[in-house]
Amino acid sequence: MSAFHFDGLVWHWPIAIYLFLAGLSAGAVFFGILLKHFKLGKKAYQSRFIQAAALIAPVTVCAGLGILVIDLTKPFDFWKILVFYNSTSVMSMGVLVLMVYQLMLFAWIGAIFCTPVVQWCEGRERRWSLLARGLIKLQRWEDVITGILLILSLSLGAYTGFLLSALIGFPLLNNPVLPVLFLVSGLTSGAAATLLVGVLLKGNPNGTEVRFIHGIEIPMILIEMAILFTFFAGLILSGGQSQVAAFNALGEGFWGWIFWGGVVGLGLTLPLAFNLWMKVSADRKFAYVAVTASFSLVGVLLLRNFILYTGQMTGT
Amino acid sequence: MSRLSRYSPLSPAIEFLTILLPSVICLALAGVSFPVDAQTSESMTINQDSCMKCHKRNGAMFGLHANTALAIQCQSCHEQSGKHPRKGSSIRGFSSDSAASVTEQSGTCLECHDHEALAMADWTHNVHADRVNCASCHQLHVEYDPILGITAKDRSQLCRGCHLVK
Amino acid sequence: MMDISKRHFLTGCGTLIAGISIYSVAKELAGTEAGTSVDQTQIIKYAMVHDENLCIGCNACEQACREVNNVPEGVSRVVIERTGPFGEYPNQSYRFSRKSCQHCEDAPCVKVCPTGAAYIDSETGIVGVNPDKCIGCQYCIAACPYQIRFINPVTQTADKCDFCKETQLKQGKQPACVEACPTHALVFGNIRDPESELVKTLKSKPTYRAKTDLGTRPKLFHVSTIDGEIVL
Repeated sequence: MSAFHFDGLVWHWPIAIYLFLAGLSAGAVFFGILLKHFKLGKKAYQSRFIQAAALIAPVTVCAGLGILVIDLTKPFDFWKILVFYNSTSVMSMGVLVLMVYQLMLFAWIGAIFCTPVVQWCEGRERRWSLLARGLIKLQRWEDVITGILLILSLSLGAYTGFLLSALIGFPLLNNPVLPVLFLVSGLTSGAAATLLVGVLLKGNPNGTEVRFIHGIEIPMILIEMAILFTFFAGLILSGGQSQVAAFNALGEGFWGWIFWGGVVGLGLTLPLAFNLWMKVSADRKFAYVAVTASFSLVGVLLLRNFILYTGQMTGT
Repeated sequence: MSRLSRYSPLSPAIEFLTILLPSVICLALAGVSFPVDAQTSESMTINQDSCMKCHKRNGAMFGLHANTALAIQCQSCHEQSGKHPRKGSSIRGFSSDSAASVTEQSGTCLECHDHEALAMADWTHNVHADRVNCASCHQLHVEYDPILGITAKDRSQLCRGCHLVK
Repeated sequence: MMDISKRHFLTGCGTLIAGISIYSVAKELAGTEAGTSVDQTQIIKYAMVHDENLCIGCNACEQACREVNNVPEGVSRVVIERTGPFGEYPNQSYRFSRKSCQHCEDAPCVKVCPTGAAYIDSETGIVGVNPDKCIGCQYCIAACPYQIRFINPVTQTADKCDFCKETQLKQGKQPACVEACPTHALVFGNIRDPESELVKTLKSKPTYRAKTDLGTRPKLFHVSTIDGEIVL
C-alpha cells in the first residue's frame, strides 16, 4: 500500500495528465476568445498572447488525447470510440464534444489568422490561393464559430469533472461540485499557460493582455478557493463514507501534503499573493508573470492528480 | 605421583577426585550437547525401532518427523505398545477407525505444534480443531506430505470429500 | 458592424443549445433505454443466491469458473472473501462472502461504457461484455461500486462473471460455480418464475444485497451468516 498503489486504483497519473491538458486547452481557448473580443479586435493575430493561445490549445488537446489512446489496454482499437456512441456515457459524449471542439478550434484559428495567412499566400501557387479563399470564407463565420467554440470550451472544461463524478462507487468523486471545480481550475490553468507561453514568445509582460488576464485571474483564484472549500465542506457534512473519504484525502500523509502544500499553497495562495502585489506595484516584469503562471500550472496539475488518486482511495 | 603433588601435598583420594571430576563434567556436557539418546541400544533412529519387526512397510518413517534432530520414536505419537497386538493395549492409531478420540489424536500433534501457528499457516486448522483428526488430511510417514504442495483445484476437491451434500 | 457580429455570436450559441436540448428530449420520448428502466414484460431475469451459512470457503466455485470460462491465473470472476476467525479456540468459525458481478438492473458499468461493449442482455437480464467493442478504457472497472470487474490479461478486454452465459447456459446447464459447490450454497434461476428453486429460496430465507443504497438494483442475493452454525 502506497500513495500510488492501492486496492481499487483503476486510473493512474496518465489520466490525471489528460484531465489537466483538456482543461488547459479549454481555458486557453476561453481566454483567447475573451482577449480578442474585449481587447484586441481585428488585429488580435498580432498579439503574442493570442498566438500563444492558438498554439497551446490544439497542441494540448491532441497531446491529451494521445495519452488517452496510449493508456488504453487495446490502443489500436481506439477508433471504436469514434464510431460507437452511448448517450448515457459521459466519456462517449465527451468524445463527441472533443471532436466538434477540435473542428471549431481549427476553424477559429483559421478565421483569426486569416489576414496574415492570406497575405502570405499572395503570389504563390494555386493551392495556396485555394487556402486563402477558404480562410476568407471562414472568417465571415467567425462570430458563429466563436460562439459555438466558447460553449464547447466551457463544456470541455466541465466534462472532465463530469467524467469522474459518474463513478458512484467513489464518494469523493461522485459529487456535483467536481465539474465546477474542474471547470474553474481548467480556466485558470489556461490563463496561466497563455501568459507563460505569451511572455516566452516575447510578449509584453506589462501590456493590455496581461493586465486583462490578471484582472480576471484574481477573482477566479478566489472563486476556486471558495469552490474547493465548498467541495470538502460538503463531503464532510454528508457524513458516512463521504466524510471518511474527505478526511483520508486531506489528512496526514503524502496526498495531504500535496493538497495543502502544492494545491493550496503553491497553486493558489502564492499566485494570488503575486497577482495582488503586481496589481499594487503596477509594473509587471517577465519573471513575475512567468513564475506566477508556472506556480498556477503546477498547482492545477497537482490538483488533478490529488483528486484522481484520493478519489479512488475510498470506496462506498 | 602426578605433577600436582609438586605444588601442594594432597591426599591420593582428593587427587583422584580432582582428575575425575573435570572428566565427568566434560562427558556430561558432551552428552547434553548431542541430543541423541546414545544410552539405549534399542532406538538409534525411528526406523530401527522394534516396531519395524512387524511394521516394515507401513511403519517406515520417511517424512520430516524422521529427522534425528527431533528424536521422535514410534512411541512418541503412537504411545507405548504394551499388550499390542493383543486387545486392550493403549496403542494409538490415527484414522477415523481409531479407538482414540479426535481430541486425543489431534492432541498428540498439538503437543509440539502450537494451534495459533497452525492457524497462521492455514485457516482451515481452526475450524477443524476438535472435529477432525489431523490424519484426515496429513500423511506423516511418506517423504513429502502431499497436502503441502497441493494445487488450489485439488484442495477445493478435498473439502468436497467430506462436505458434499447429496 | 458590432450588432451583426453579436447577432451571429448569439445565433451560434443558441443553435448549439437548442440542438442539444431537442436531441435529449426526443431521446427521452423515444422510449426506454437499456438498463435504466424496468421492462415488466421480460420473461427471464436470472439471479443468484449465495447462502453464507452453507458456504465452507472451499473455493470450488472459483476453480470451476476458471476452468469452464478460461479465466487466466492471477484474476478471477468470482472471489470468496473470508473474514474471521470468530469465537474462541477450539470453537472458531469464519464468514464467507461471494464477490462477483451483481448483474445490476441499473448497471453503472453499462451506463458509462463509451462504445456500448458493456450491455444488459434483453432476454436474460445478464450484464454482458462484448469483447470486440471493448477498447480497454477501464471506465467500467472504475464505475463498478462492487469492484468485481477486471482486465483479462489474455484478451486485454474487460471481463467479469456473466452467469456462464457463453458456456454453461448455452448447453442448458447451470453455471459452473453452482454445479461445483459441494454444499449447495449457490442457487441460480429465473427470478420471474415463481416455481423456480431460486424464488422458493428467496421466499424461505432472509436475504440481503450489497450496496442497494446506490440504486444499482443488484441481483446477487446473500443469506447472512449466523456465526458458529455448523452445517455438514
